[in-house]
Order: sequence, then structure tokens, then C-alpha cells
Amino acid sequence: MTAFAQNFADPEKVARYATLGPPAFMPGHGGVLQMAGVLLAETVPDDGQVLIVGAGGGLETRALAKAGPNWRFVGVDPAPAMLDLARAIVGPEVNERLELIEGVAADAPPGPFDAATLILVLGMIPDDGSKLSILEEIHRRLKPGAPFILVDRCGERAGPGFERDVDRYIAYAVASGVDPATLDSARESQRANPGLVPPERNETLLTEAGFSGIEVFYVGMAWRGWIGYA
Amino acid sequence: MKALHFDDPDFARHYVEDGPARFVPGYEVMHRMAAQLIAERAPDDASILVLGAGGGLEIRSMAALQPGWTFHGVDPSDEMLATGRAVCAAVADRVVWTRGFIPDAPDGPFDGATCLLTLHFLTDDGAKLEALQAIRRRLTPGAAFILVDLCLDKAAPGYDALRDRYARFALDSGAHPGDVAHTRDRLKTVLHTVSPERNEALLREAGFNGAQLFYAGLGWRGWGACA
Repeated sequence: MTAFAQNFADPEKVARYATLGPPAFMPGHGGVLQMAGVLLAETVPDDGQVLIVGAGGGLETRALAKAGPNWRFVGVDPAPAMLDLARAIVGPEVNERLELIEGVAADAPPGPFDAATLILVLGMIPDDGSKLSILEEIHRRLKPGAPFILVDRCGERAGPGFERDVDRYIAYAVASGVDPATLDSARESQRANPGLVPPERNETLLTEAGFSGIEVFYVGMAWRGWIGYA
Repeated sequence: MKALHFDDPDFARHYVEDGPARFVPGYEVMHRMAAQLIAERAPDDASILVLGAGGGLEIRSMAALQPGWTFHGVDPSDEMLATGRAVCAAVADRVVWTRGFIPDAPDGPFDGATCLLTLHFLTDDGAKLEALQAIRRRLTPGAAFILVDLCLDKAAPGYDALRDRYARFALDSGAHPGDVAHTRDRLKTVLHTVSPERNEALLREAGFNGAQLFYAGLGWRGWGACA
């Protein structure tokens, strides 16, 4: 277990991640995971196999394990500490039906899977072919017609709304209880993030990667969620 | 739905616990975002017009987030107004209630307005547009208006599948199955939902500027726009 992960052996710190982690930044995080479960359950069979890319932290696996009590999960994430956190967050019952692999989408087994998710990952990947490549890696591991959930923060670094979006991001996180001092670098890190793209760009990438029937199911300020089908 | 009446002391509790929060994804967070967007353009002592305010949940949320704001709530239903008074009892001195429709609201001008889960009750034969125009007339120029509406196009081929999805989400949230079945029927028989694009066109026609989608949850859509 990594030193970072030892923090997550402490139930209080795990609870802290579950409240002051992604849910403090993305409006309606819990509702988004609930919607993802409802949407996947429309087509995923009772014994379905679900691929979770960026499974570190474990929040989406925990939520989807409730939506599909017999689903089995394969999660990939390049950060060992976040994988340890995922094991702590999902709890013993879900760990029985979860395989975690240290790596990226291309390191996932070939499947084919009945569903896949990519939540709060794509926005950190540069749009130099890398975003498309991840989406293609996921697409080729899905059965034809299988659903895929993408959730991401969108924006335009050079666009007129950039400052306003960052102001809103910070105001929302502060109101959620995040220490404002930890947000000082948010503006610069977002401006420097080559992965920040407008929502229309993600829709184009989804189509290029072979997904169809693409629908927005979630918006919360600059965050967006889509479902599409392989 | 179990027969509920405004003099039933369980009504308010039932509405708070088992009402919109179980049907609208991210319901409380949607209120937070609405208040945040209004606050960008409103003073600390803003006066806020709340259409379809019965039930009181959005006033209670916004009042907690913005201690200096006062509210004028308008709703045609005695039952819902009674519930709103009960839900907002702790902030009663900051809320004035009017029984009626949008034209019955005072002239203002207000520093912000909301119309949450309400426009879909009006027919799209001029009534939706008139309501939006009546709201805009009551706002200070540049003030924020928040519209959140169920946007299922009744004429679209996938309409019934979207009603099923709506019902499955509510059941998954723990809503009472009887409430869910009743509401699923009401979507067809009572609501006059239109596509998101239609609401955006109505906002423009009513004179609102810069409408921006800030919220979506399955079939629900929320916009912030400027008067």
C-alpha cells in the first residue's frame, strides 16, 4: 500500500474524499452517478460486465454496483493510490465483483463489455489525438450497441466565458466547504490544461470514435454528461 | 398518489421528503446553482420573484444561502401555498405570498426571478410566452432569470420511452410507486412539455438575453438568462 493510500485506511479520510472530493466541485455528483446507473440499467443485462476507465476513487463503481447488484466491474486507473482508495470506498461486497488494474484504457482486457464509463478523466487528456485514442480503446472493448457514459468538465481556454466559468467553479467549491486557499491555483491550472475543450468537441470525438445515439443527460454549470452507444 | 389535503399535517412532510427531490436529479444542487447565478447580478438585499413558489422548497433553499434576500412567491394553488408557508416557516418574515398567476405578481422591479418546474404547466398557445414576458417586465434590466423545466417533446417518437426513464429514476430515488405511476400519467395528461429548443426560442422571444444552459438532468433543463 502506498503512503498516500494509508490515508485511505482511515475511514474519516475516506468519508472526506466522498464529500470534499469530486462531489464538492461537480454540481449534483451523486445525482449524476444515479442517472448513469438508471441509464445503463436500461440495456445492460443482470450479469453484465462493466468497464470503468479512471476507476480510482471508486465513487462511480460504488454507485453503479447499487444500480446493477449482479454486475461485475473491471476498473483501470494509472494511480495506485487512487486504486487503493477505490477498494476502500466500494467496500467488501463490491470488491468481490471488482477487478482493478493499474493502467490506462489500452491496458484494459479486451472484453467485450456490456457497458463502459469515463467519468472526470477525458478533461485531463490533451486533444492531440490522445482523447480520440482513449475513446477508440473503449469503443473496441464494447459489444455492438453497448452504452457508454462520458462525464467531463468543458470550456474554452481562449473563449470569452473562461474567466466566468472559473469564477463559478471556485464559488461552487467554496460553497461546498472546500478551503479557498486550495483553489488559488485553479485558474492557472485550468488555463494551462490542454484537455479543456468545449462540449461540442467532445460530441465530435464521440462520433469519430464510433459512438452513436449520443444524448446529453447531465449539465451542471460547465460539467456535462453524455450517453452514447457503441 | 395518496389523497393529500392542505389541512393534512403530513402533506408538507410528504412533499418535502418525497416530492421533487425524488423526481428531479440533483434537485437541491439545482437550487444552489440557481442562487449562485442570480447572486452574480443581484445585490445582497435583493428582492426575488418566485413563480410557482408553492411548496416553498426553492425559497427555503435560496433563503438559507442568501440571508439578505427577500422573496415574493406566487402560486395559484391554496394547497401548495399552505405547504410553502409551512416549509418556509423559519424565514416567514422574508417571504410574501400571492395566490394567483404571474400577472397577479406585484410590478417590482425585482432583482432576480425563478420559474422552476412550472412553465411546463402552461400551454404553448401564447400562455408560455405571456408568462415569460410578464416575468421580464417585472425585472430590473440585466437581472438574472432562472428557468427550469421538464423538456420532453410530446410529439417526438421517443416520448413514451422518456416517460419510462423519468419513472425509473424516481423509483430508484425511493419515490412511492403510487406517486410515480400518478406522475408518469400526469406528464401526458396535465403537462404541456416542449423541447429544449422551443423553450430557448420562447426565452428569446420574451426578450431575455444570453440564455445559457446551466443544468440538465435526464429530461430536465435549466437556463440562466438576463432581463
